[in-house]
Amino acid sequence: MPRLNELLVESRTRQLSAAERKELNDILRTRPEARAAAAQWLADDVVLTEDLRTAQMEALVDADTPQGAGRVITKYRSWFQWSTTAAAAGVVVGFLCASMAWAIAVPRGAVTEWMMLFQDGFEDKNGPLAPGFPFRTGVWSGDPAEYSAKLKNGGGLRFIQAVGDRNSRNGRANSCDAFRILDLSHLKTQLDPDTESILEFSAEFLDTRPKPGRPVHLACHIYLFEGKPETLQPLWPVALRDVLGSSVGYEDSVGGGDTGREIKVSTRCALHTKADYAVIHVGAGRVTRNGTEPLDLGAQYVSNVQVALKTQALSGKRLLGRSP
Amino acid sequence: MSSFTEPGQNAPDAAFVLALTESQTALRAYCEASLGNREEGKDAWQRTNVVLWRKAGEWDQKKRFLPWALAVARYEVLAVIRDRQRDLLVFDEDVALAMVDESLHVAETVGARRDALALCTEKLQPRHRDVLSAHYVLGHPHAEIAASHRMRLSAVKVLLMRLRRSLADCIERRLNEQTA
Repeated sequence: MPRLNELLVESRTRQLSAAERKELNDILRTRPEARAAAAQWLADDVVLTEDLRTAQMEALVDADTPQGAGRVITKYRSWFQWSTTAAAAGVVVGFLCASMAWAIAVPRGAVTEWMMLFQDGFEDKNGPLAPGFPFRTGVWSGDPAEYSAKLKNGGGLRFIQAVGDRNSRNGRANSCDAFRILDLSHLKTQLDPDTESILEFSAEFLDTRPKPGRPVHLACHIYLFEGKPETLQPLWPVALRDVLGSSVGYEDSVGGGDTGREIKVSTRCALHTKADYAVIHVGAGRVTRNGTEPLDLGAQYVSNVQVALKTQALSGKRLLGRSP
Repeated sequence: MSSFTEPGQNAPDAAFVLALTESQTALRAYCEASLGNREEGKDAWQRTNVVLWRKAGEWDQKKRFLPWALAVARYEVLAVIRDRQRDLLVFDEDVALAMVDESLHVAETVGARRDALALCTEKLQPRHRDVLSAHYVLGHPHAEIAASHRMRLSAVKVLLMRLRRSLADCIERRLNEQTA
């Protein structure tokens, strides 16, 4: 049924004209075999999309290796042609706590602007990390870990044990992970369409092992999603199939030396215009995903987790007219 | 990560989580096939997941999960048909209602078709895979795909249709081989 297939394909890419819609509906209304074929075609579209997306995700996970250190993975490469030099020269508008940040509009008119969306030094927390993936925004949860106030610079989260993931492909316990969901929906109406918007996610890790030991992978991931955050928990990490954009940054540490030295890990991700929320994920785990060596955890901490929004006008010509 | 508990609530057990996870593609396929529209399908699919999670305790584990989940999905699809803005829909209401039942049969076969498709896409040329991914995963417009792959717009449309039909044929061949 070539014409039926054509109409279904066209309906996927654009709004059908009234005549095309009538033609499609007439075919489906009058021909039961066309309804069966259309249902099969549309269902196969989903299966194909899932297959291609899974392949992309596997490539993305495979990229999470030492060769991929610091690289930014996104569906929109053009976002990352943005010069880090320009970012470094940007104007720091202000560092605000997360609760205040939502109350202000994204600043406009400067070359590059920063706004702190989220900051947590874990100073006001104690006891164990809540178990499992977060079921709502505003809370940390994850694998066995505990809050600590013993760090010289304030509070932190101590990674204790990696737990295998029932929903992952191999279920192997590769990493002790902590997650938090950040609401980004308010930004949708505030972003200037003429700006590039980049989320910069950073965290400071400590590896307090007094002597060098097995390498431990200290990582920051950020994932952007559309929809409702509460739908994510039961499906994590399968829900990664629907990620709008993501990025990862990491450092590998063997400990020893200056045990108080902060290891700053950061990564950047384009703020997709459809993003309703972000999942930030910090973890300590194996350097290789398929490794079998015991994990040397218990002395690694994360602190000073930050997510900042950087905006920059898209057009250089326009920037001249917007100089502060 | 393996815990799915929500503080203060009775969390669904492992069997439920596993069954729900394994049924995701079938549920999404059902929703999109019924509504003929990705956005509406996604809306129904997400609503279905929320309801299934809340109703976890009602699932009789002696029975297959998918038929039960599809029955829930059917209600959510009907709710979308009832609530949606008419000027945005692809299928007329009577057609959508007919597709709701037609798609139930299709959803039951998604698992087998997915396995068959995986064998078919393995053989795709990298360039063809890129074009398919740009269209299906990233949702890029044809014009953008044409520009990024240095193709004419008409050539992109022809290629996508040819690849799509070729994959559908490949799925049928694989399924026939299994039953032969």
